[in-house]
Amino acid sequence: MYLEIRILEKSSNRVKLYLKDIPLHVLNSIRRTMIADVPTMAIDTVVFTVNSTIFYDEYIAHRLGLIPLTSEAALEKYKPPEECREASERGLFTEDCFVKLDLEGENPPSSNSIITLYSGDLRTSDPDVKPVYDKIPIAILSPGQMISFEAYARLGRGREHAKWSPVSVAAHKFIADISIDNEKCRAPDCTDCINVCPRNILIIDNDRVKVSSDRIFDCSLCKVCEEACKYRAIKINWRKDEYILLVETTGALSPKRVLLEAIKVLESKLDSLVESLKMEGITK
Amino acid sequence: MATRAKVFPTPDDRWIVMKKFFEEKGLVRQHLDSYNRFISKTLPEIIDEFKVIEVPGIAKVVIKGFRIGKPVVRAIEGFEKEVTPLECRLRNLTYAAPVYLRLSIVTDRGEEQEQEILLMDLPVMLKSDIDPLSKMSRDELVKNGEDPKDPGGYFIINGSEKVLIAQEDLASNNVLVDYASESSSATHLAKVISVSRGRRSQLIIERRKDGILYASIQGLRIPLVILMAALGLSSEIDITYAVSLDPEIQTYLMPSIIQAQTIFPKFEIPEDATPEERKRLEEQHRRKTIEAALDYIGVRIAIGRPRQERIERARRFLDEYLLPHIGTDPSPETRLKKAYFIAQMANKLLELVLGRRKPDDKDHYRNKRLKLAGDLLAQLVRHYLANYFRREIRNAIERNYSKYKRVDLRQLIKPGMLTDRVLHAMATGNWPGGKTGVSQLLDRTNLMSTLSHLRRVVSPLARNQPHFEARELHPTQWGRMCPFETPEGANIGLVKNLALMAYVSVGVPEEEVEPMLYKLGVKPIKEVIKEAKKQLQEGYEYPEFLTWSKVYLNGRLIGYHPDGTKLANEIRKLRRQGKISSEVNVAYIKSDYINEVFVNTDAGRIRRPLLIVENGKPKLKPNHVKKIMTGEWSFEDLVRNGIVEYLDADEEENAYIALNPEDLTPEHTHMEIWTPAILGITASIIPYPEHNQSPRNTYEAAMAKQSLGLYAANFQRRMDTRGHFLHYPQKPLVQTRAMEIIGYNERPAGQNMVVAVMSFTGYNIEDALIMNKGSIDRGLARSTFFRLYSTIEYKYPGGQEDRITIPSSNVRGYRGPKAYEKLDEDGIVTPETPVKGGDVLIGKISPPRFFTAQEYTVGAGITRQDASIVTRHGEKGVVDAVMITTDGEGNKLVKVRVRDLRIPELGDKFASRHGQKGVIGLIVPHENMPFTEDGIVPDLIINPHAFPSRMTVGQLIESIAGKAAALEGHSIDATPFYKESIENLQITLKRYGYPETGMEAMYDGRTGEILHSPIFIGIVYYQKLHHMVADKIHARARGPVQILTRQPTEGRAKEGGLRFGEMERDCLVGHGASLLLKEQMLDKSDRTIIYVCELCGHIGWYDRVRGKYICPIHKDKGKLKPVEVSYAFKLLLQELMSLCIMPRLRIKDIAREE
Ligand code: SF4
Ligand code: SF4
Repeated sequence: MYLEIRILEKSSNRVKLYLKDIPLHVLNSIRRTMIADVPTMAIDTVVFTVNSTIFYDEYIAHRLGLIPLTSEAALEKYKPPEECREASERGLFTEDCFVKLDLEGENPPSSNSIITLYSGDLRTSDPDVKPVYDKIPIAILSPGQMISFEAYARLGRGREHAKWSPVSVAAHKFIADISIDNEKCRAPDCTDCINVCPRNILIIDNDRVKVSSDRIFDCSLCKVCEEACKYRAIKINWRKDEYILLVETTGALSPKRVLLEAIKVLESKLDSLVESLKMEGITK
Repeated sequence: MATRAKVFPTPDDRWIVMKKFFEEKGLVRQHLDSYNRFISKTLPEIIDEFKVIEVPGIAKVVIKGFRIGKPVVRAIEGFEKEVTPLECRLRNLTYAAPVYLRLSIVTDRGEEQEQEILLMDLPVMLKSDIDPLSKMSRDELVKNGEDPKDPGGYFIINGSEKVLIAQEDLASNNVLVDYASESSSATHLAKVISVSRGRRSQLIIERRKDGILYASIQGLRIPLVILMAALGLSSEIDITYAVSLDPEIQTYLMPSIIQAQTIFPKFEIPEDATPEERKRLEEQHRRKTIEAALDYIGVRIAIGRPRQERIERARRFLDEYLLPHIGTDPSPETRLKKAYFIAQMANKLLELVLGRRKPDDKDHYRNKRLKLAGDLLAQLVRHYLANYFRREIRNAIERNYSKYKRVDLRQLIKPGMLTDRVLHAMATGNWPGGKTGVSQLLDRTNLMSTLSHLRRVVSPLARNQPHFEARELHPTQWGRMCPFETPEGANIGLVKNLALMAYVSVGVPEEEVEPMLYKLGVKPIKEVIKEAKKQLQEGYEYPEFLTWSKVYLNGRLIGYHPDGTKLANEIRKLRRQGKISSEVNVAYIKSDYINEVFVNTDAGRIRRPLLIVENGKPKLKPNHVKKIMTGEWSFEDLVRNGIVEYLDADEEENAYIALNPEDLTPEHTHMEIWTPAILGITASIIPYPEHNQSPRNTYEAAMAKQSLGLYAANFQRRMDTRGHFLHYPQKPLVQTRAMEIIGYNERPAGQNMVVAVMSFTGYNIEDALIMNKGSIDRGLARSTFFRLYSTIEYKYPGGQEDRITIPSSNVRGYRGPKAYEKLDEDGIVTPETPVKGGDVLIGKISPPRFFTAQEYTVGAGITRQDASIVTRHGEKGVVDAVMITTDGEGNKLVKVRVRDLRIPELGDKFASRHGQKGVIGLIVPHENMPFTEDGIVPDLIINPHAFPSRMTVGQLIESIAGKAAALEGHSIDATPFYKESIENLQITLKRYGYPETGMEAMYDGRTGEILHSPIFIGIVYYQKLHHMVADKIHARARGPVQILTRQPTEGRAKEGGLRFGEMERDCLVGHGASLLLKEQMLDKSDRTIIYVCELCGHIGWYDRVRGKYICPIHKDKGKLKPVEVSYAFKLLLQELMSLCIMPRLRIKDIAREE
């Protein structure tokens, strides 16, 4: 059985899909997995040698962590988060887990301008793992200030810290099923619902309130029309097993990759469940 | 403002004017002005009072002049060095400037050469005229380590920033009449507190039940008529006319006059007396009467002295203690002036008796004055000069004067004495006269709290008495005191804050105004009485002055004017033309009986600027606004040109003030410049306060002062004892205009959060909040906490001294090697070292405070004791900065600042700007949070029950406005009364495809299901408050006990136990859980075994040498049995013994009994 899928919108880091006949729990599992379980690279440990900026070490470290790093290739190259996490806790920055990014900056005391260090200034040990955007400010150096650190990035999951979450937006929505009771409806004397609808879903057609069919995906199910109708003629419902999924990534992975990885993670979870059941002898 | 017609001046025009006011004056002008006036006027005056110091029989010292230097610090080596405020803060110094006096000694041989001596170090108010900071540009300030936004207006005493809190007082030199309390013997009272040059004395006139008036002064009660006679009003007719020209009032004076007649000498003029003789006799009688009256008083002061001395003493008493504000010189004119003043008091009192006037309203702001930093400092300096300086000079000269040598005053006068006393008062807040809490440590939680602290006003009324009327909001507080900002609880309504537009007068001398009044046709009181008498003798039924207006200058009747309205208008005209000071206010009060003009020129009146309106048109014109905008005109130019004027509460009684130009009618005299400026600093940051229930705004005004933000831009260069700063403070999306001028946008204290109103899991009941873990991970509401640890290496008398080092293991109180392992060689931790409770930050050893018995006997080798500075129990952090310097005495001073990252956690407190506070109840993983179809996940979920009972509609509107602001990409103006209309915001929301109700469909992140009811979601500005779980979390299983009682210690800092109080105890008693009760109260607390003698019931002890139990009575023959008691009980027995009570315990063995 195939699902009906349509791509409603697509760009390098954003995709909107129309899905039909997919159960809600499956869709939501995928959505949740995208947020919490798809691994990406992010800076996890920072070793400062010098920091005379006004920002504290932990403050800069936090900023560094939130810089999205390109992770497409990294997913294959580096060991999974669970293994690397231990290594990081033990302070072992092995090459199969960690990418080193370092930065040195100095604003000489004689200068009278201010230097801003950006994510683009980070030097990476693996060209496949580098900041997605170059213009994220890290720290500001006034004259006489210096900074130098080595940062270690590893794979991790959004469950642990939001910096590893590949998506900034992962949401689904229901598709409205609007029913208008023409018996009760007083249109065209009344156009209340049409006036209040913020998405212009409702139109008047032949003196009757109609749903403009090409805009139905836009209905936000806000039920403002229902509230506005004095005669309880309009009713907002939703279609079963028809959804729109919106994914917007941080740039670490492409939306496609995020989706596929999410499914892969889910699959492997189910696989391991099957394995465990087998091991326990519950199934053959 | 879309809904209001665009009548000039529009809110924008008015805002330009108001903004100019703040830009020019700043927000702590009242303190700065007051201090500047103290330096330029009051201090010279005070010094002038001590101009000549007589040393009886030897010489006199004449003060020729004085000068104030630049703020300096005096090193112990003796040289002076200019100092910056920052250095003072860091090195625990005082920011003070030396005051030098030029003196010369005059003896019978003539005058000696002038000498300059150092009088004292005067604390310098930051940003006042004598502070170099006031003349610095922004860059220079930054170079000096100052925050350019710092308002100044405070002092630095021994390194800590101190504010002198403005004291609200009843207006002095003003007569207040009131009914007497039921229980007293009087029916009505008239009171005046006369204050002049540091002298303060109260005069009360009371009307007894028999109708006789008495005056009491300094605890002395004198019949009023006698007092007036003693002051020179010798005849009945003089007294009567001085009191009133009105026959009805005169009748009420009769009982007093009749009573006084008994002591006055009889006066008879022979029928056949010639006019000359008559005159002579009259004069003689006059003198006799005055003397008799004086003697009456003298008998009561100088008991048992000869008559002549009595009279003299009485005279001096009246000159010095009676109404000192009128004068203290012994001239008949001054005495007469005093008599007239007293007569007016009597008049006012009798008017009250007759029901012609109501009792004075003590809470009306016309009767209140503020004492600001300058006044308080003047009081202090005058007090110590009078009490110590004069004596010191006298002693010095008496002791050292010799005929052959010049006296070098510089050697003899120790400046430290005066300085120390002044600094001590400013450091502790204990003022001469018994006032406490006058100086307070400046609140540096955030900029709001600092500014609000500098604008605080306290009332001296006792906080433990109800004083309901004083605490209530008085109509005259409008525009003067913030209606919202007051603490809750005991101090409610007594501690207030100045409204934004309030401006406190510094005062103009009466002498500048009084002649002008006479020129305007005011007839001096003396002439009036003379003429009135004449008119009566000429047969008028009433003197014509009865219909004239009485004219008061600062509460003192100076004369009569035929037409009060005209006089008031003329004074106003002169003021608007700039011919008299703009500080002069005039009020004309007329009722059926009262017809009075009040002219005020004194200091401490709270005044507020208003636009002048004539014939229903404001005098402000568009071109004026333009001039203000371009900077061509200043705000003072508006005042000078009669467009704006300041009104005090008195004059405001005459004004009819419109709120908006649309409301103007020809009757209006004034219009508000900017109505929202009736609020104070913290209330001004509330968006839509007019939509909130009033107490909520009060709560928010208090909470804004606890919110974390950027308290000072130089926070890293400061060493505050405690400090917080928020990592990513944001400008609120929903703004009020006042934020601009307060500086809230440069030093914000909060973040814009996406807030959904729903229950979601229910972990947000009772005001709790649910927070998104994703948001926290991304840095929402992170803050850093600083704590300062510091110590001084003291040198003690006798060659002993402290040493900062790593203590060796043989010092007393050694904490074990682990505690010291983070110390560097110099005995101080290195920066960036993580530390936790118990770690030593500064290792220090001190000479022992007490010698042990051993050391006494052995003598040599006293052990030193550990005096190390240890990280507080239960705290952790990273050493942020270490500073090593010397303090003012040259001792080594070490300060260590420890910082701690504070990520929001369960139990941290947050509040919106509408008094909606709550603690985090649950942190939900991002994927579980509800989301909208756009993928917006709220940062915060609050419970819908927060709204119905609190009625903070403002927050709902802010939520919608915040959303609209985010969609439009610019902030929204939510200034009270002049806000952007809510309808517009809703239109904006709709335009961007959001329902105008602010509700959106949301989906549950856990199941993916749609939430059946749309959720109200928007952006609200939330503040992180400084109550954090990390500072409060505490538990104990075992731990230290108190030495005296052996019960567990109390409080988190001492690792104390949690109190099992009496109500808790009652529960166990009620349940009959006796074993649990015993465990709680005894075993877990101060259980001890004592040995009690069965024979006598006394407590015995165990003699370790003999291995025996000893009874104090039976010695080793006693039958001692172990008994389990509370140690506190044992203590009680011993305390009873010390009171010579012999407690006995009758004990019996239970087992034997059976
Ligand atoms: S639910 Fe909202 S968006 Fe949908 S039709 Fe009704 S008003 Fe329009
Ligand atoms: S509001 Fe109700 S009655 Fe009016 S047009 Fe809409 S559905 Fe019909």
